[in-house]
Amino acid sequence: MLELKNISKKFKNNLLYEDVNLEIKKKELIHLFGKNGTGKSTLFMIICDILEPTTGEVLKEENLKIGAVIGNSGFIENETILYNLKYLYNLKGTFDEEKVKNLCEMFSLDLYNRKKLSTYSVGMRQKVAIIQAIMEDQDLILFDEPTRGLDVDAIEVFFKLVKKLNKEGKTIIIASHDLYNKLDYDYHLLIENNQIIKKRKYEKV
Amino acid sequence: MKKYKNILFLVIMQVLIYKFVGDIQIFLTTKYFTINQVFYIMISILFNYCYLNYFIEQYYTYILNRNHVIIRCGKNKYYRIILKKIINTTGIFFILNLILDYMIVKKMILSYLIMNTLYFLILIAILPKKREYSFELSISLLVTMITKWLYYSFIL
Repeated sequence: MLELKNISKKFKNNLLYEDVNLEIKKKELIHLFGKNGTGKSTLFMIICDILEPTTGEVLKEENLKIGAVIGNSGFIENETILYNLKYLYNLKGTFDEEKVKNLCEMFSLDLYNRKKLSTYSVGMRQKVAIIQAIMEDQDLILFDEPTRGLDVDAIEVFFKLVKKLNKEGKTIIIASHDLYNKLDYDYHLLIENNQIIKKRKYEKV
Repeated sequence: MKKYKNILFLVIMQVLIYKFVGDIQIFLTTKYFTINQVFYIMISILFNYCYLNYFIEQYYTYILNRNHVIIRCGKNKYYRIILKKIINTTGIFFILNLILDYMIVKKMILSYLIMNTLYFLILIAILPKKREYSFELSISLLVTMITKWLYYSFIL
């Protein structure tokens, strides 16, 4: 469903990737890891077209819907959860209020809370970010440190949700330092020496 | 709805302040510049706060969810959305002020208005685009007041 072909990415003098090739297939559950600054978020941004690779290309299946939580998610800060989720949903479809409400309930969020998003804690914002990444039935879901700021209950809900989505046929990539043994990954991707290396088992870096 | 509330607030505020100040020149200079008197500086801060708030609410906040929009629609559509917001906001701001100045003080100083509009656009364009900087309104208000005070004191 997705293929990275000869991707290189350079920021001024900092080379992150050099001639990287990678193929991601349907229904895969993948763990992405590597030291800080090796380019995990950058890889997600390249896949999502937020950043362009210096050389190479990203080949995607036609009409591939991508959902992502990357870094500290930005929202329309002076609006409510409902406004933000509705705004994003309506960019490409028609807002399914019932479905989004259920997702919010799973994460103990009130969709109709009239508070502005700027007043929400890091954990609550992260929940909203996770919801927006999955609410439109996205085929490929990218999570960058998804459990940041989440409480224990929310982390459990997140794992259940990932397992369910993967069972339903979604491809999920989770970039994380500490979630390497929490899910039954198909394989791990290690970013090291400007390359992405496929590993059957997790190795300490 | 928020847009109309903001506009209504701007109109009422200006009418009240003109009624209170009662002088065309002072009204226009406090609206577009800061002058060296505490009272007028306060009024000027109020004006600028409202205008910046309007600009920030109408399009700056939409820049913060950039990544989510690009993931869904691609960069081209994202730029189109933001451009439309900038043009609409600036257009409404410009026309509203022209009409208000004419209705309230029967005088329009276009150069003041153009300079002020350009100033707000530049300021919002150079504001940090990350959610971590959540004091954009306070930062921009402070920069506005200092710049305008310098301009008024040393150039005008």
